Amino acid sequence: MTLHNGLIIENLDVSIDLHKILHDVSIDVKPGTITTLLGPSGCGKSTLLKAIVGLLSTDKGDVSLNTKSLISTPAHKRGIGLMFQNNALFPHKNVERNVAFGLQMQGKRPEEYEEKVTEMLDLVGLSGFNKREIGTLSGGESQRVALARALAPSPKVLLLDEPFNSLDRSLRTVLLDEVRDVLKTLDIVGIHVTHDWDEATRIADNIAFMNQGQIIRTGSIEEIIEKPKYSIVADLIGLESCWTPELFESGGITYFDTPWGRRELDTPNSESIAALIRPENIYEKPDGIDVEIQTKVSVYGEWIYKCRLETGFIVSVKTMKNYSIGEKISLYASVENVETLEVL
Amino acid sequence: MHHGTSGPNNGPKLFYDDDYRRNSRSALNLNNYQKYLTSTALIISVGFFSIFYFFPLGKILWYGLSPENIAMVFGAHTTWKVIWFTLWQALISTAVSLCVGILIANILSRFSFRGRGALSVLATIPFVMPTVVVASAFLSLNTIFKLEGTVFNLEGTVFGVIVAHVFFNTAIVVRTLGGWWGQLTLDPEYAARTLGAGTVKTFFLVTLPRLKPALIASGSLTFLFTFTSFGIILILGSLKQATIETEIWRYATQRIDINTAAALGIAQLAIVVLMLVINSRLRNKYGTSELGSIAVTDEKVYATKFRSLRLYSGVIFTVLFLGTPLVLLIERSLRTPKGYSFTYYREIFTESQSGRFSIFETRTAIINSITWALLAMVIATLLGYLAAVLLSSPSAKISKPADVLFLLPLGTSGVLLGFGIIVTLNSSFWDIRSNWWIIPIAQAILGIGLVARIVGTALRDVNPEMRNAAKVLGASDAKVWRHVDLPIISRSLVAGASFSFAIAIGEFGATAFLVRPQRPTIPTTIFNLLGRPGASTYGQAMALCVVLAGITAISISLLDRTGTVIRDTA
Amino acid sequence: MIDKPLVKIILVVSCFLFTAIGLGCSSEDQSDNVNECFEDPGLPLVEKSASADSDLSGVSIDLVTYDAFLPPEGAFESFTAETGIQVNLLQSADTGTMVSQSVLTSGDPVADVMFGIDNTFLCRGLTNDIFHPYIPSTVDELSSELLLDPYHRVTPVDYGDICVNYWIDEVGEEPLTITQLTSSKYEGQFVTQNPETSAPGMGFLLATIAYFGEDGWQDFWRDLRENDVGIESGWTESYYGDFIAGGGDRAIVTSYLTSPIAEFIYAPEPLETPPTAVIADSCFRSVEFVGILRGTDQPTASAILVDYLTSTYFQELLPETNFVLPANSEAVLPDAFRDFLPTDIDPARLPPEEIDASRDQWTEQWTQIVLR
Repeated sequence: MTLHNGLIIENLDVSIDLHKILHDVSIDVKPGTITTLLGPSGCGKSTLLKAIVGLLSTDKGDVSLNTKSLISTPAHKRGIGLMFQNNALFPHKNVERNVAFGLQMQGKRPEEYEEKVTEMLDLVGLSGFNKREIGTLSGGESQRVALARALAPSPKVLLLDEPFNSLDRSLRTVLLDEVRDVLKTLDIVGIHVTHDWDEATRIADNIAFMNQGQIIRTGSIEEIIEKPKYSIVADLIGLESCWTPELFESGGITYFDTPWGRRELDTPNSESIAALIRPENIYEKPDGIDVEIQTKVSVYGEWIYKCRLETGFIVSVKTMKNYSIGEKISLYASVENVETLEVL
Repeated sequence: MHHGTSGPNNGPKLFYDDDYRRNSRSALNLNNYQKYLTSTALIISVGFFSIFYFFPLGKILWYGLSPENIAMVFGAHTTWKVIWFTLWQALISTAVSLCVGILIANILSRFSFRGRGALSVLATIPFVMPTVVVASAFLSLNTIFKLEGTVFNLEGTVFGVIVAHVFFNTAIVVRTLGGWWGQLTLDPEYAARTLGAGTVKTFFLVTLPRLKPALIASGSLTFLFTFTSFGIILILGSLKQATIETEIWRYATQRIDINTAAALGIAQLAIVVLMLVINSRLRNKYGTSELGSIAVTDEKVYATKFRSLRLYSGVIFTVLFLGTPLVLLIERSLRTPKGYSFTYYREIFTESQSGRFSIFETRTAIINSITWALLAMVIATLLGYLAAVLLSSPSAKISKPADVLFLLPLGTSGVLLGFGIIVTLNSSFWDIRSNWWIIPIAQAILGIGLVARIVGTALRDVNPEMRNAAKVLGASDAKVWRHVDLPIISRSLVAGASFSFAIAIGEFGATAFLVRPQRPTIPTTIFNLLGRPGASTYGQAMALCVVLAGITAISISLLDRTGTVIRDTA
Repeated sequence: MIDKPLVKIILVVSCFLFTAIGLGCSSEDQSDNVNECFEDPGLPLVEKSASADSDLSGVSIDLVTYDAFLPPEGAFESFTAETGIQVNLLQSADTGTMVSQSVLTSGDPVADVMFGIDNTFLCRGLTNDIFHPYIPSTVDELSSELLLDPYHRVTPVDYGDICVNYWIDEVGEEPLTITQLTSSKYEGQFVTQNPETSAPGMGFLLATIAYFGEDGWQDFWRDLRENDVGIESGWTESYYGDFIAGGGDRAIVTSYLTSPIAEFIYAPEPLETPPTAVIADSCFRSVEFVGILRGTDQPTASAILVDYLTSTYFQELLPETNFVLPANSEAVLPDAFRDFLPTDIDPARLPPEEIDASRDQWTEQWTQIVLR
């Protein structure tokens, strides 16, 4: 593992009530970069954040920041910020007191932190909200206050636990961009948790996929899109034309069937694999396979159609042409472009 | 694979689904500090209860535990008659108290009007009045309105007993319900209205179910108080109707037959335990709260045609029902043969009146009363908080027995507990003879259950994520408690504290069965004044009752203010 | 379906009950046998040790009384000044509760001396051996008729008769008699107390039993019930709730021989004579005793305290504070008592052992006749 002055997590094991939740988790994030943890619900993402921040004790492994181990530092002395799923604002304190809380805990007096609080509120676009009560805020305002509160003590690391889930799409994108800018500007290590690929691509520099308490795949967005490696990753990043074909063996060669012909397996030893065909690799072609259009959605002027094959298999195709639902078209793809993925 | 958001994997899933989900969520967050707090709470509170409750009670109940004795008591037809009467009068009293309490709490929590604070204090005062005084006020109502012979006769009738029970216990319902109700948002009510429900239907189908946790909490307390009610049954019921508690008292103190009294005490304990178990189940079924966040809205009640009618009729009813006996009391304290004057008030504060006795040092009595009550309040609040920690524990193994344990004293015969303490703590090691501290402790035992119940409900509502948020922002465990737990439970903590203070300052019965050092308190002075003839001693007793009510009202308002201060400075 | 928490709770409760069995100590058999009341206890008399006076300064003893007892101002302070013995006054609830507590702790008492056990509860105390015999130095001055226990386990300290009182302005100057209470002229005028819950109520029941006999009192009470007698649970409720003195509308009430004197002393405006009077043939003699509790570790100091409590000095303080009459016949009564205490009273007396034996049966009968 490379040494740098960011956050380094090495071989972390965590259990709760004797159940192992995290297995041998390693991650490192450099200052000013954001890593998104992506995974299905229940995969251990939130647990990992709680372990990093010190709210849960670890069985083994290390968490270090700026080459200093934090593993024996209690949560309140780690200096790692965390934004919670449900914002966890203190309902009994007003906006100002919520934002000032971390500073107050550092022993600062009101006259010392007043300026910082105002600065933070300006930063999240809530100038003048100082005296508002938490109960009177809208969802977006609450999340901004939570962000301001998390940033006020100037943490070196900010963890975001699906913070914008409850918000509508447009507001979510705005806030994600803002958070990204803030983290970049302040050179903060960011770890962000979501199960939404769009959200991940909007904010992350690197992505780490989690499944059943383990990190199964890490890399930049491009690397992940290029080579998802696992079917579950393909699912999460929105590559939906993915299926589990039956494998045949004949003369030492393993192969499987696609609608466009038989395909040989690159890794002959696999017991089960998933097959993937990307929308951009499927074309309309008169003598292809007949399919029926089931749904359509427009993305930046192009249409993406989900189509049903006679076998019941669904493929996505991208085209400029406009069809209506229920119409039949003919599709073609090269067998060479069918990718194989591992199944976990 | 076990993970946080999955469903339960063991435990009594069938009944406690919601609760369990919550528990499993918070189990994730149970850090070492909370484990430490829980075990400390367990040791201290259970230790305290063992020494001052279980051990003495067990020792006295043992007198009743011979087979012949049990057979004799439970073979008697009259015993079952007494048990049956005790049960049904308590159930009816509880039901009526809840109805009246809902009405008053609605006015207090959903309407803003001038005098709301005063009305809130008025609703609490009855709780502290000495039974003998309130009973005599009710008896004079009988005379004034010539109720004798009518169906509304208050003397020696079940009707009178129930009215008096409602008068005393409304305070508990109003206080428990009011705090809860005011924090619920009106959105579900709005939703119901837009879906075509009228005011009445909205109340019964939406509001009432949302109040269930508070109703169950205050209902169980009221049941315990009325089930073991003593003074009211004795004075207003004139023993024409006997309850288990009055029978225990009669056998233990008038017939000096401890064995029978103890056997009855076992029956009483058995029923109370049964009721508490049922209550504990109800709580787990309906106790899930929706008070994750506190709603702060200016709008207190949705607009209806009858808004002001509802407000005014509610206020008038409250003032009439709770105020009349108090007004009668004030009237009697001012009425002298020469017309109305403050003569009696002057007399009780005059030290050097001829023929007066050392016990009538009113100022000493007031100081004693306040000191002991404050001490009892501190003990009850501290231990009650620890008990509440156990009550709200995510582990059902702790919270369920705790739920029954801490309320038991409220359902226990004061006579037997008092006798038990004397029998148990009479060794030279304890030597209670000269130890005055047994009195605030005895007063506190009753308060602990109340505080635990009220605070426990609030503590269950502290979102564990909020504690984590504070921690991550740099708050140590102590500071998390100070800035998150304390302000959120402060309202309930203060409500519990003021109740334990009220129990202690008005308390006369619970410690009457102890042998206590002669030191005047307000209730003992009132009792002693009432215990001898003479027109002016009676007037002085009434004046002192008004003083007691006044001190209590002031103390409770001050405590309420303290709660606000705690919240604001956090 | 078996519910686990319920089972657990039941287990916990039964564990607790069975532990209690293990911890408990055996209760002494409480027999109501008439013969046992005044039987020789076989205990030596308490003797004051010779060097007492020098040894006792700084000694502290406990005196337990019922809750309504008012210590005369300065009385115990002057005792301490004289003897060096500190007296802690412990108060219990009513007399019955106090006796009951002492029965429970017989032999290992909560105090050294008990003040105020009366003749209706006396046998319950004596049969349970709660007292240690002692002959006070003042014994010759005490009214001999009050010395009920031949074995000197208790010493009479005061007496106060329970009598029916009436409001003179309402009833008239003509003295009433007990039989008139059932006359239609006084229908709805009389209020008394439940003997199960009130000492004066018990006293008046005993007075009627003594007056009308074992077989006659029931009819009298049936007539009283016909005549709309009021029954309260305690003296306070009847005196201040129903009787004219407290603003009620009944003119006749069961109270004490000394109540008229109290009304005279505590009248808001000075009066010439008391506003109330007693029915002379309705009285029952209630005697209160003091006794050294068996098991005390301060027998000498306790004995000195008993001497003091029965001395003329202390006895003369009792009437004005507690409205009882001194047991010491040499004590001088205060002026108001000398002026207004009726002299024509011949109170009913019933032997304590008879009261003890029949008490439960009488109250049971009374409840059936009057309440049900």
